[in-house]
Amino acid sequence: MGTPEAEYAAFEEKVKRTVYLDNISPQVTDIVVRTALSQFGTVKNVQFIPDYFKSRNTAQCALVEMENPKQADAIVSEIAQFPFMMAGMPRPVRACPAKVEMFDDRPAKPGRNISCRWLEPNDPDFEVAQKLKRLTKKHAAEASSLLKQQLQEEENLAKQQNEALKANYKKYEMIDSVIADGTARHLAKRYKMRIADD
Amino acid sequence: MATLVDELWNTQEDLKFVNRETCISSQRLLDGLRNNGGVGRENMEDDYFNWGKKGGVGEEERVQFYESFTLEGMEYSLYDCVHLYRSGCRETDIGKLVEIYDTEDHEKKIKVVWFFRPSDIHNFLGDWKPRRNEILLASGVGQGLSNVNPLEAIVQKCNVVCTSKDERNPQPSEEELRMASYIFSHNFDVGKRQILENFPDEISGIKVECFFNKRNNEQLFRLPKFQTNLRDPAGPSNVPSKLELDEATASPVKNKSKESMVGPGEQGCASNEMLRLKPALDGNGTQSARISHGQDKERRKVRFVDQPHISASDCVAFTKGDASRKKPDGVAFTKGDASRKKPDGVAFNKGDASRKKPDIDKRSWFKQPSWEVKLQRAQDAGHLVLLDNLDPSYASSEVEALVWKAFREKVEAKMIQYSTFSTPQYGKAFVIFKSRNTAERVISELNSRCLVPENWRPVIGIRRSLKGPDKTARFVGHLSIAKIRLQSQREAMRKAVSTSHCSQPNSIEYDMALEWCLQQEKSDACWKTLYEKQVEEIREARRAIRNL
Repeated sequence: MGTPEAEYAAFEEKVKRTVYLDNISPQVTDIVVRTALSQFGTVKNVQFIPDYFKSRNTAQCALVEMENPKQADAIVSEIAQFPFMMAGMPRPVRACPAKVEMFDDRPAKPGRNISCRWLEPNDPDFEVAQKLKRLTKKHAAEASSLLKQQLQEEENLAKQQNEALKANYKKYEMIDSVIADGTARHLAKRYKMRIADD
Repeated sequence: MATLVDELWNTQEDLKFVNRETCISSQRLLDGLRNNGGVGRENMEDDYFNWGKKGGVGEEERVQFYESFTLEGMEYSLYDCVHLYRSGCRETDIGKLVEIYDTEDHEKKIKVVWFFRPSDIHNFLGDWKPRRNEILLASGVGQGLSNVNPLEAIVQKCNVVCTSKDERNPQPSEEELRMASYIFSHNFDVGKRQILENFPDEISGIKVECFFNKRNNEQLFRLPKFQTNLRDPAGPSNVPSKLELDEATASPVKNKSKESMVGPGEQGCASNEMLRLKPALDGNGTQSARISHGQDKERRKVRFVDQPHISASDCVAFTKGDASRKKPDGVAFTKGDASRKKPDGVAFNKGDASRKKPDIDKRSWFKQPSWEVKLQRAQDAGHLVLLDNLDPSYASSEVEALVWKAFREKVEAKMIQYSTFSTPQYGKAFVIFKSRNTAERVISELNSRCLVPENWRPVIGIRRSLKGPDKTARFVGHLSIAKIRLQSQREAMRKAVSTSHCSQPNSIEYDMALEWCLQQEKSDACWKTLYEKQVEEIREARRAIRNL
């Protein structure tokens, strides 16, 4: 395609125009995202980030490539100001500008050489290396437990909201039925009150 | 402020387009410039006006449409940009001819879509800084988009080049830009009264491609062989009327070719409009150009009608027809030679059906399942290894290089995309090895010894089983009322667009959404503290490294 520098520059330019969305419902498809975000500008590409380690997390994330950085920024700021609902309520999607690491097909940053060496057990730094490895695993475990806790909290919130919603709905239903079957009118006549909708 | 606005919008109505006779002084001037070569004015009256190619016939009013005409020895075609005289104004208006017709009473009318000078819409400019010579194309619906005027109001042609980066717009060359009298890259929506960068698919009922730069047809290059190619330079659509066209315009063309030698405005025009061949060419050349123009129009028209109205595929259709030709540079004409310069918009003419949008989509459909399928297969066969503790900024190719250097194994690797639930300081990658044994060997080596890349992050290799996400599960956080859920879900699926919106503060969903936002903020804060702690621990451990 060109020199590695040019490729990387083009890639960086693409990153600037891309928005990272998460908290997307699993039922949302490519087309839904595209049409939803076309309010903000021209959507060039939508790519869902696959979640390989099913972590009970039902939310999807996606990278949406827009036509120019201005549109991408507009999306991020709009979504930050107003909760944006996509294919369901009330959990809003979140948006932030995309980062280089979010693209798995990214070109290598020019000027970096990969080199490596093996450390044998008799190497003085071997222990340190082992410790670092253990640390990595520990951190991974910490992260996953935090994630679990977060998901739990989200579920609680959702349940709570569901309850509230149901209760509200029941109230509305009751009012509706009372008006519909004439009970309200009856009572109003009895107590000499108006029930017009003003 | 109101009065200025009225002034802006009313002036278009008060336009009195005057007949040629009254503004003849300006014409005389122009002609004087043109006739430097000495073609007498005697035959001016004869050439004053001639109809060119005929178009269709109007349905209700008995009007005859035309695609071109000659005025004062200058040929104008549909979609040319012209200057129009407005009485009382020093500056002319610039418009694009979108309709040319002759009414029952033999009144010649033209419909123009306007270009706005920045001064015309100074109230709506906002922050937009116009470049020198930049104008704006009118679009949208409303007053000021277009007007029908008497044909005689045309003063002369105008060279307008579109510099928009829209895919449907052939990019102009340096020469064309220099020769252009005006450029435009934005449009002004007269209904919304906004300056827009994106061009709609249609303006005033005409496809937007007609407003962009014209694609030049290679036909024009077969000039020297014009005589023999009179029948047909190219293309299937061959209409006998073209020959008439040729004859009818033979005389004015000759004049034109001499006249248009001079005049700065003219030069610009020629290179812009597809066919305005330069004076350097002889009359023959110009004739062939006209013929090809007509043909091309036919072809172009045919194409546009056949294809579904998607702008991407329109471009495709057009370029498919020209698949064998490259886009010639309009300015090559000035040199009078037929050699082609490398066209700018070669990408347009590759003739492949993969235009930008469909291309990227198709590529990602093709790529993703393929990688995922590979992953799944590798996982089942035991070839899959997950590498951890990589530098998150590594690219997939760098991971492959690393594995090669360490194990002398050629593999396929892909970095896992960073998402909200990935730890920012750790990069992970999936590596597919060729065989199960290799995979096992690698893992055991990584466990027993330490592989340390130049950034001193020992690489960990583990087996991690893939689990696809459960798409059918109900999304936590999206609520619905049980009773009406079934019905509304189906509808919602159908009209997914209508359910995507920004919530406004007056609804219950807004409050709930805010609760969610609060929840998200809280978890973000938790993650941040965790990551900071982890980074600190790593730093602590690295302090013990002796030879870095």
